[in-house]
Amino acid sequence: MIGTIPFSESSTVTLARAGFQDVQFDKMRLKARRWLLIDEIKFCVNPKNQTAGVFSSDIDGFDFASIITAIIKVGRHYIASDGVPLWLFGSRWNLRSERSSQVLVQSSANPWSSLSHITWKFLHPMLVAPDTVLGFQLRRPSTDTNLDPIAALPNSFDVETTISGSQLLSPPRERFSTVPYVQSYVIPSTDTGKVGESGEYPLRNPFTKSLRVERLVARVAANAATLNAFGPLDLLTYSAFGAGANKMGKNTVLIRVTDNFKYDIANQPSLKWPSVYKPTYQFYDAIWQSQNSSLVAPFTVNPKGWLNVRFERADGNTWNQASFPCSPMFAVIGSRQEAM
Amino acid sequence: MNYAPITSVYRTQLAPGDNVAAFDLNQENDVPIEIRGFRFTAIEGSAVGNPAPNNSATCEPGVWLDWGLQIGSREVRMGDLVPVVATCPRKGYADGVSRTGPSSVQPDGTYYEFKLKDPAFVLPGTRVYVLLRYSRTAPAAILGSGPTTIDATVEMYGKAIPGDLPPPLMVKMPWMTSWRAPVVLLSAAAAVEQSSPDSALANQYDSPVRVTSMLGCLATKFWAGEIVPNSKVRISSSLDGYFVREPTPIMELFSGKSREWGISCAMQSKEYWTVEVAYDASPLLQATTDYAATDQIQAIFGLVGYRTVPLETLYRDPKPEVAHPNIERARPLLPSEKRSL
Repeated sequence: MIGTIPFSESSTVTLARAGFQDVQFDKMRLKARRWLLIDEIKFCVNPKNQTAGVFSSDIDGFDFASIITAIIKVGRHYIASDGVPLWLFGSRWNLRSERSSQVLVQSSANPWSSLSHITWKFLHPMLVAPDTVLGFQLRRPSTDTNLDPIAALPNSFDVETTISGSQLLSPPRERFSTVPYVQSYVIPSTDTGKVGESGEYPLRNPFTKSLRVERLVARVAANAATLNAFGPLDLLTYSAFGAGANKMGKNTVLIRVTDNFKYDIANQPSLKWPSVYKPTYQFYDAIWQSQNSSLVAPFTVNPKGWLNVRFERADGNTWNQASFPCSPMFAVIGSRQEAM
Repeated sequence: MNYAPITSVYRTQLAPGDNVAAFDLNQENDVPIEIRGFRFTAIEGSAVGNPAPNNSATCEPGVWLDWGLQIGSREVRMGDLVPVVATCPRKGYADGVSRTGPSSVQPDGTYYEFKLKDPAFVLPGTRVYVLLRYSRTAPAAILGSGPTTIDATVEMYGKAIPGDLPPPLMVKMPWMTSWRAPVVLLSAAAAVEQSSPDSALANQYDSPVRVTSMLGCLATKFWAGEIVPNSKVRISSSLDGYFVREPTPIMELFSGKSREWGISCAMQSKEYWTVEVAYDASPLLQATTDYAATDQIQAIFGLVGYRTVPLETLYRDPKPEVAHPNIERARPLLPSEKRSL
């Protein structure tokens, strides 16, 4: 009954356009004298409103977590070695899109929060020895990314990172710990019929041990070029775009996931746009769980094995045209065993 | 009946200050049951004679709904009631459903679930009380507006246990405690820092309790807390010092939607936790027109867990403290009495 006490640490960084920041978790390293059992990493992206200087740009359905990427290390072990969009780490809770239960009182003058909350709950808690450095680096793209000009907003973004778990009152007996690992594949925005395919390397098991895959995550970000009904200086005049967004919700992207033996893991479920204007919300097809866009698929990728993901714009759709590009994203979330 | 699922539902309408005991949740089965959890809904009350609830509330009625739990002869005083939002993670199908327009924004899919990590064993004939209270105080509703009445529903669910199995000697009883911070004017919130008293988030028993989760939220007159991103907390234990050392946004520590932080630890006898709250309500005043400086904000926190007690302690003679006329008839049957029937 005795053995742990709770633990939580958080830190905020402010990201300017094309900026990157290291999250300062040194405090945890210096002060934690006990082993930690971390089971959650949470992110909160707060795009500050220019006029209010606080929060709440009113950009319907757009999730700023899709353009902030993270590189994460624990000690010498990578958790996310390439920049992985925060959007792909876990379930997301956003007031605006993906049909949050929280609907604030609405009026024409009342903006909705554009805060994006992402919670990544580990399937297996991760042991962290005292004095281990947890390294987070958060990046925000510059203007030439696929999600320009959203990324080009002059607003600074506050990104809050929180880790939580337990402190062990006595050292663990285990010599190995589960270390999470995330890989992602993000393709630039696609136009009509455009195909993106990851190939061998982005989603390859880089370790000499098996990678235990826990779930796959697929999302589609609307390219900001489709959202240019509002400008960066006026974030509250987006209502005129609502009708178009509704129709965008019916747009589709086809996805096929295979392993290196060409076996289908997820074949051809169509992804709808991730977030649309109320009230005609559209979810992804059932295979991708609607809240976190994930497919729980426990399987093992052997050393040097890999997954291939292929995206394709659906034909025959009114909104499948060059003026409505989008950016599909895909992530493999799993873990492996590492010596402590 | 063995291992069959069981449910029991009680629905009531509460006016401010009303206390109601949900006697319909009694364990009236012939076999023991395991209680797995409770679900609550709280929506703005319907007009008299109108069976349909008013789905256009802009507040979150659950903020004002308190509850208490008594199994067997365990005493629960009204002062022991805890806010539903401080003890029950928020849930909702399809992550909640908004109605169709600005005039109708009640997320009618929202409910609250008190799910027991370990089921509570209950013998046949045992009274199970869930006490409900609409905690809005007169004359001025805290936080601003509030429903005239709340339609509250509580559902108990679990499963039946074969009656010929020997009952356990020890059972795990749910445990919860909470703290409602004093309400603060939005205009003054930035200068206010509050700390929970020693007696609020404390283990008042002589034996350790197992804490399984902590909940926290910020209540305003509209849907609670989601638009106050900069209010932060630090949390410390009377025995172990700070375990949330850095001021951490409430919405971040307590995951936005559920408001729950899942933890697992022992809380020693007489140990207490202290929550320090630093408000920042400036977003409400700067970025919206729906809040006034005279509106209020309130932080609410709760701890949920269980403690292990001998089964026999649940069946002592009750000492009613609850002002309810039926309480004297509520004594559960002792196992020996049950067998003699």
